Amino acid sequence: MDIRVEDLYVRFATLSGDIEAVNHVDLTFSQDQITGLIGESGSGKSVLGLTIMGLLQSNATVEGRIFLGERELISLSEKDLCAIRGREIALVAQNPATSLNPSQKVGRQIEEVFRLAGEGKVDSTRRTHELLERMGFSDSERVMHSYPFELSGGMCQRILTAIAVAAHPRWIIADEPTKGLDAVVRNQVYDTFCMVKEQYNVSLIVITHDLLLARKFCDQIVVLYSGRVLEINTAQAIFNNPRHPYTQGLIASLPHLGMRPMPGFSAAFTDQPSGCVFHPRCPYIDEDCRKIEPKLIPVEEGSVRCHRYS
Amino acid sequence: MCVVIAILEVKNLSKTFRASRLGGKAHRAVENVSFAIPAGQTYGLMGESGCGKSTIGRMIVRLIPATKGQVFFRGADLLAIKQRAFRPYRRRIQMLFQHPSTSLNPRMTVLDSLREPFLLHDLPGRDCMDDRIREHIESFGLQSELLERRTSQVSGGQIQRIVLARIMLLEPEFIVLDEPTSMLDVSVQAQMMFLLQELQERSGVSYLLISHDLDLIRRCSHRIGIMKEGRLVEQNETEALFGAPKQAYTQELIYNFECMKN
Amino acid sequence: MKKFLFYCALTILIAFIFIGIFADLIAPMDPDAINMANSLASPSAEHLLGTDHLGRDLLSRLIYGSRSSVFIAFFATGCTLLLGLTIGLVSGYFGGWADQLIQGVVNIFQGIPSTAFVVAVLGLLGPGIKSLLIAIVVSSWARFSRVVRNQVLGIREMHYIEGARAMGGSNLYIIRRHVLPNILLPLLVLIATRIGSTVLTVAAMSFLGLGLRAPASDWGIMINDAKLYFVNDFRVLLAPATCLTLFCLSINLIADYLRDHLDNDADTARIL
Repeated sequence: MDIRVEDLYVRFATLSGDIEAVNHVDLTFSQDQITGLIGESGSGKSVLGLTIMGLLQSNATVEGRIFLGERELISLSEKDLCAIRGREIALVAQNPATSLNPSQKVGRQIEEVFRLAGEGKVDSTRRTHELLERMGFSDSERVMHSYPFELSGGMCQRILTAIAVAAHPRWIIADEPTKGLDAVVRNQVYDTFCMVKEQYNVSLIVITHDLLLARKFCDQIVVLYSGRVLEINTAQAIFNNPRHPYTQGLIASLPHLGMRPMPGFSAAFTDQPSGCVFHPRCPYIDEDCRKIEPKLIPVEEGSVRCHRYS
Repeated sequence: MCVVIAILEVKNLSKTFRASRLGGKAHRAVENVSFAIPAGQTYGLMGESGCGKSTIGRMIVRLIPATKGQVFFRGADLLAIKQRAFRPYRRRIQMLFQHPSTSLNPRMTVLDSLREPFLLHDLPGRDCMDDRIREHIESFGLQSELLERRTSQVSGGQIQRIVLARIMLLEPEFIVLDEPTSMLDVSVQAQMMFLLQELQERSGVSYLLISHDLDLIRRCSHRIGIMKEGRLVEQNETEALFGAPKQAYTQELIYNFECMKN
Repeated sequence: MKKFLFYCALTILIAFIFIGIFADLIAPMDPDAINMANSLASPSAEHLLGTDHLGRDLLSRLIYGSRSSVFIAFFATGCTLLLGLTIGLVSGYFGGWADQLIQGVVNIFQGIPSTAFVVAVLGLLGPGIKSLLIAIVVSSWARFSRVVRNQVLGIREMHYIEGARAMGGSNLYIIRRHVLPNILLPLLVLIATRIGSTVLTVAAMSFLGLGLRAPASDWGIMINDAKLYFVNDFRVLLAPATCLTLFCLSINLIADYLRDHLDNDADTARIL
């Protein structure tokens, strides 16, 4: 079933004023697809992921609706959400080094998932073995008895993913799976996700600032900036024919594609520009851009939020 | 082939970290590394995390002592100079660090941080340093209202610019860039590297660019050295290295990066 | 609520300090004037809190007592801080053999229970204010220096320290401008708790007859004096004990508040 986000708005109350992290976002994550949420720090991409999981801090105000199939998630109680988390939507957290318990053997941390699902000790151990083998660990016995620090970064990431798929969720949300990793490990992570996708038939949402990973791995890409969706399109189209000036600038910033810098900085949350959020940095700025906020309009197979296409 | 004068030459540089406890193993972080950086150019040092590339940078700037080897800066062996006599070199050789979050003292304002070069060195315009700072930071794309803020309230990309602006107040001839953009977003990275290249063209400053991003190194360096486990396995002019990588490790690295792109 | 408690505590602390400084002006009577005819008198217009077993005015003795107790506490903590800070800085900042040597000594000092240590030092030097000060400093610098050292070790790795060194900052410059301002906060909390416990130590030693000697006015001595009479008149024990408790409580409340509120002042902007 699809995940549908309707008119989602998330605000944080902080000492330095209210922060609008997600600003009226409408999105559909289609089943059996890999959707990449790309954006830079402060674009609201991680907040969007956490909102779907219902894991925001207490100072957040959420408005709008999120549907998982026919069920609306925001109005659910914490107890009902717990039944969905892990079983229907699982999260692969950002940092494998800190997301695993350093003082517990890896095997026990995976078994916990089965134990929580009500299985006996012997069965849990057996299923953990199966799971590890399915995840491509040839020596599952040794891995089970290792502590996280005895494994490489790529292996830890695979363990985290294993924990996420253990309960056969329909959806996995991966938050910055390649942040701070070397090229070799990054490729391993990519391979892991490909395998999971194939073996478990899950749908994925990948939250990342790694454009190359997004292009290689995702079917559909959503570009976020200042809490707004600026462009949605297939991965190929986003890279071969970026429509929004921000997407164009982002791709041109990649080292192997010219590394041409965009002018200016992302807008501060407390001081957002009027009209189009990107207008202070846009090379095609027009009178309308300063005053009227553009709508997300469909263009061919994708959609884009820019006056130039209306 | 014309002879290029090297501004910095590293010869057989080694670093062994002593074991912290009796009976522990000594760790050879860097072993017999030699390379030369021509004046006005960028030398890219590439390797995966833990390969000792940052240690080399710190030894050149004398933040940590070298175990063995020499570093010649315009002909003078930096590692042989006594502490006291080294002080003039502190202006001429600088370093930009990886983590913006700890690069500036969190209890200071941006302005206070930018005043430091004036307090430490006899720079021109010391009497009216605030005015000089205001004028100076403009060319780094920084606005003067930033000066009053605490450094903990400034974004990572801006902190790296502030640190760079501070370094450039000293008018150095050589800067070690230790993963200067690895914590930044791609668009901010592009801005930062563009700024660095612009500075190089304008003032002729030379860089040692340390990074684990092969694409970035390829784009920004004239010459590249590939490191693995403390050793320099291969070095060459940028395009020659990518055109015909000799070592298996270099080929593997390039393959891994190409993998990601298609 | 916490804020309210903090301000109450601060007011009480300042009041104690103020009373201590101006004891001569505030105290209604001579604290040492004996009047056996009027011993253990109940509160009256003349003696607001009544008198003790020697007929001395209880209120005046409390007021003079706050002078000695509070000032010994502040002074001793100040000396401890100075010693602990210096040693901790050297140990943490420079590291190497100096660090190992210092940490060896610190381990020995920390291994000795502090009350026993104070008693032992006082036994060696003989009772009196000076020896009490020395005993407190000697027994508590080690903990201070350890906290300072741990803080410095954390800060030493920060890029801004390396950056300052790369710019040519001397060790003294780096310590003064970058290290000290960043360790001050956790230190402040420690100082506050130390002052509280020092007051208790002073009172305890005076109670044991190892600190200040009678007839000096001191809360510890007053409690000591009261131990024979409190069965008849609870007031003589209650008065100094209340002062002692109030003082320590206010110090601890202040420390608690500081720890909660000074640590996370700036970094609210970085949640995203």
